[in-house]
Formats: sequence, structure tokens, C-alpha cells
Amino acid sequence: MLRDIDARELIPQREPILMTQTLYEASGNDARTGFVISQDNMFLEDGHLSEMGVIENMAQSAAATAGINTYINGEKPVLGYIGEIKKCIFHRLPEAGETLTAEVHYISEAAGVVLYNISSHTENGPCAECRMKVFLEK
Amino acid sequence: MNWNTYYEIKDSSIVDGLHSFEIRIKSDCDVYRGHFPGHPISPGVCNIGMIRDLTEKVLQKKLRFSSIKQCRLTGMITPINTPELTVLIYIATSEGGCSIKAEIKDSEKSYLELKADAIYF
Repeated sequence: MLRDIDARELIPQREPILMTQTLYEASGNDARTGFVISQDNMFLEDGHLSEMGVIENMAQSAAATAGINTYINGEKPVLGYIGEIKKCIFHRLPEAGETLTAEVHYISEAAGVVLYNISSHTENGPCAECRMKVFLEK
Repeated sequence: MNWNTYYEIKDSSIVDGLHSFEIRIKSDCDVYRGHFPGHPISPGVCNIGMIRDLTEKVLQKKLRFSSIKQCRLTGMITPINTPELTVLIYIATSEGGCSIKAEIKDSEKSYLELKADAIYF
């Protein structure tokens, strides 16, 4: 089991749009990530992380999960793109200072496209859930 | 996010309830420092945000997505290769919110299709 990996080792996104910080743990093809929402996050609107920020956190968490094998092989992170978002429901938009945790659950993979179920929450309750296809650039 | 830093509207029209915007993606937006360093690609979520921003302009109301039923990202938008784009938006309003169907395209291809629900807030 892998624990507490800096997300920058797994994905090529950087500030100001680095929207996940730490891969807390990974087991099998599933993982859990964490992200402290800073006061100067580019997706804040009226003190809340916007829907776009919440989606990007889930997308980067999925891409980080997909990047684990690259990391284990000692290679540089590859670009991961969102191919499709489905059934994305927003429960609550978190505020600056909260820690957003994303749970990434592997569904299947075909032709370089990985399908994940993802949900996110903070210490104050659930934020969002969706199904996402991630393309990895080879 | 201040969407004015991400894109600008060059022209707009409405035909049979379908809103059409000719827009330009700005290459000097701060987001490209990180997406990706030395290799600017327009983030999918920013294009989704642009659709919400344009819908807010049409309705003159602030919106928040309650759900994204489906969003297909079928092409790569970059401020270098594909800055000039057409955004088509069909809006069905209901009490307290609206349903949105949108597409981002140019004469060559389609880049993004979105079906979403939003609420006024």
C-alpha cells in the first residue's frame, strides 16, 4: 500500500490550478486524496469553492490515481484529460479552510481510458459525486 | 474565478431560442502557468465555467450548477491553436433554475457538449 505521496509526483498540474495536494493512500486501483482549500484558490466564489473547483479536484484526484503506476516505475507524470463527466451531483460547496477529501474508485479500463466513480467530502459533510472517464497521454 | 480573464465575447445572436456566442480564449490567463507549464491547454472545467458565465449573462441571474448530467470533452481547446470558438447554449427555465444544453465548437469540430441543471442563488 502506498501512503502520503505529493500529488505533484503524480500529475503535471501546478499552481494556480493544482487542485489536489496529497494522495493519502492507494490500494489496488483505488485511492483517497486530500486538498486544503486556501484563501487564494482561483475557484473561490463568495468564500465557497465553485462547482468547477469541486470538479477539478475530483478530476485531478482521478488522474493522480491513474498516475500511480507511472510513479512506481519512476517515470515523470503524464497528462491526464477528462474525457467525460456523468451523473455529477453537487451536495454542498466547501469553504476556504476546509479539507476536501476525494475517494476514487476504479470501475474499468479500455483503450487507454479509465473509468472511475469519485466522491468528495470535507469535515463538514459530502460535497459531490460523479463518474468520470480519464484519458492518459502515452 | 473572474471569467473576464479567461475569455471575451466577440459577437452574439439568438435564433429560435438558441443562443450563439463567438468567443475568444485569452492566452494570458493566469491558469496557463499551471495547466500546463510551458504547454497551455484550456482546462475542461474552465470551459464549463464559461458556459455557466454566458448563461448568467443571458438570464441576468447568478447560477450554481446543481448537477451535470453529462459532459463530453471530445477535443482539446488551447489558447494558441483554437482561440476562436462558437458556444451554443439552449436554456430551458423553470421555477428556481434552468436546464442547460450547450456545445463548444468551431468550423472544424466539436470540443465539448454539456447537459446540466442549475439553480438561481
